[in-house]
Amino acid sequence: MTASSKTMDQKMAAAEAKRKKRMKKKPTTMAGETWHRFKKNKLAYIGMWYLIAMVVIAILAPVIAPYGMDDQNADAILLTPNADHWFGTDNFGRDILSRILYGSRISLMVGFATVVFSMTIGVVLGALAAYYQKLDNVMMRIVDIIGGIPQMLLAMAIAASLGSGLRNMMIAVIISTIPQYARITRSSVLTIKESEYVEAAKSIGASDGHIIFQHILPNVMSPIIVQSTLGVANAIMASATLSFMGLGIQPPSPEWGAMLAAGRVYLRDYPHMCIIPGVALLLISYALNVLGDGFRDAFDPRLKN
Amino acid sequence: MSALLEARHLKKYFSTAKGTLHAVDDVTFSLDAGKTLGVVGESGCGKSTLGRVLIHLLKPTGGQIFFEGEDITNLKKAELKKNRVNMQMIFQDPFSSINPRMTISSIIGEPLRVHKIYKSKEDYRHAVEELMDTVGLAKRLENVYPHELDGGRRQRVGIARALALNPKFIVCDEPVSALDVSIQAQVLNLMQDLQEARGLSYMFITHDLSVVRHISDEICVMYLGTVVEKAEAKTLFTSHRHPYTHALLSAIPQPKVKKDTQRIILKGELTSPINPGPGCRFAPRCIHATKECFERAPELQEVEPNHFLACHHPE
Repeated sequence: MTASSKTMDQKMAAAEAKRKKRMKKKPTTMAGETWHRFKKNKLAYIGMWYLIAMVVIAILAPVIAPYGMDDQNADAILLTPNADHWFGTDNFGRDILSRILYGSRISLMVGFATVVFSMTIGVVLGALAAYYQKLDNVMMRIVDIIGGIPQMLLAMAIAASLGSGLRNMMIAVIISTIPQYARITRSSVLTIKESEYVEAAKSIGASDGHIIFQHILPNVMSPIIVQSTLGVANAIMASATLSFMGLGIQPPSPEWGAMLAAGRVYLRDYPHMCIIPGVALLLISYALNVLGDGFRDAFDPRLKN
Repeated sequence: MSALLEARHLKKYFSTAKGTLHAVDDVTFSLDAGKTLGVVGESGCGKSTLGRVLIHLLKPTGGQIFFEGEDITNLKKAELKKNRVNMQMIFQDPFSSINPRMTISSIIGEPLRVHKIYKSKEDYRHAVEELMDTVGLAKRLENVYPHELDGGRRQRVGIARALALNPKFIVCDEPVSALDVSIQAQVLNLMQDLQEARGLSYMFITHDLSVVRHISDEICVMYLGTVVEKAEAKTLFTSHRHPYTHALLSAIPQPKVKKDTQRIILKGELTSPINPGPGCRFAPRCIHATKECFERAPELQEVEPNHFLACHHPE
């Protein structure tokens, strides 16, 4: 009895100490608390580190790649993975590992750059539409028209009409993803706009710009951040798809989608040519998706603990 | 002495799918400096709309607003901004009326920043500290975020923000209804102290009759967008004459066990404020209503000095 109560006391003391420690460490800013909640989601945390690793790899690709991205070796054609070529070689004897490493530069750059552009344009359009009711109808109808066309189909149509190449592919992906950001921003802004703190800001005579940038946008950022994290995955997949179909980056470039397309011919005998870029795409898009989900949960104050 | 604030035949209509909603219909009153006008009425009677029209959050459909004798109904943008310094608002919900992503000091200092009152950062910081001190917020709360504060403290933040520009008139839209009773008293006392110290005029919107009695000099009873009775607080509580006021006041619980209160229960529901008929708004629920009441709306008339009434059959 006494022994058990003693351990109880110890346990309680330990719990108390732990609680105090947590209280002490507990961050007080909004961002700090969000980060605190985010870290609890292990999968999202791993996804974040995978993404950071990929970014580092992309930056250091010329340093860490064992071969050049276009180095052809006629003596080492269509090799399966081995000690010299970890991921094997393709039909021109090019080292697939090196091509994947270089390819990550294209995929990440396309993913992030397109999202930055489409998010900026979409957020501005959505915020303006929601804030100025007169613009709303016109702007959202245009967005509806763009959004009504399946995203991939639209991207294909734009890429096909502009011609292939990195720049045109990015334009295609940007235009086709703007509606998502515009919609999400508009709906969030509509809610925040009616809030009493916006009314309070109006009553002190704040300008529209002040209200939009100081009060509305900071409070709608969380859904936009979530959407753009998922959007990077989406953009990477879209650009890989366009390249796969020959509408994006053209073959000599080590783009993952283009590599998949090149390997398709050899799928029966040398499946590694398709599997490896496919897995690379899968992993990056999965990492971004769990990261986006983690952000969404972390931003939701109802899950606060 | 001329009134600080005066409203003449103020109207605010909203157009809805079903018709025109008469939220505020022909409201006339005046308020002297340093006084408090209580506005009572049930939910949806246009109390808050009236407050928002007065401080230009909503544009009136008709009528005029005078501030210190000047017509401020239709001001240009720049003039309006200048005028906002004079009139501020304290909001009902201390949880939704302050931006959750700003620190306490930046919320309180926002009006000062918007109007560029202080040139130097040092002066600005000093002013914010002084405001926090005025409303009884500890200096250590300067950099915390609103979610770390309780309702009472948050409402103090809202009050400090309203005071920042040193206004003469403050619309208080049910400032204590979201707070605990114990904290209500603290906040009300703070507001009264501030009124004395700074000579503020309040328009105190509430449906809490005990609160309004405590704080008001004059009380105005609203029913469906119209003022039905307006008198000094004491007069209104003792010798009210409008049947609606009577019913409203009979709903105040009495702290006596054996006192037999004659509570008047109003029959029927609040009639729709959309496209109201020509008669008295209260007629469908009034016990004294006659044919006349349904045909012609009574006008607000001074029945005794400083006691206004709009009823064909006063009690």
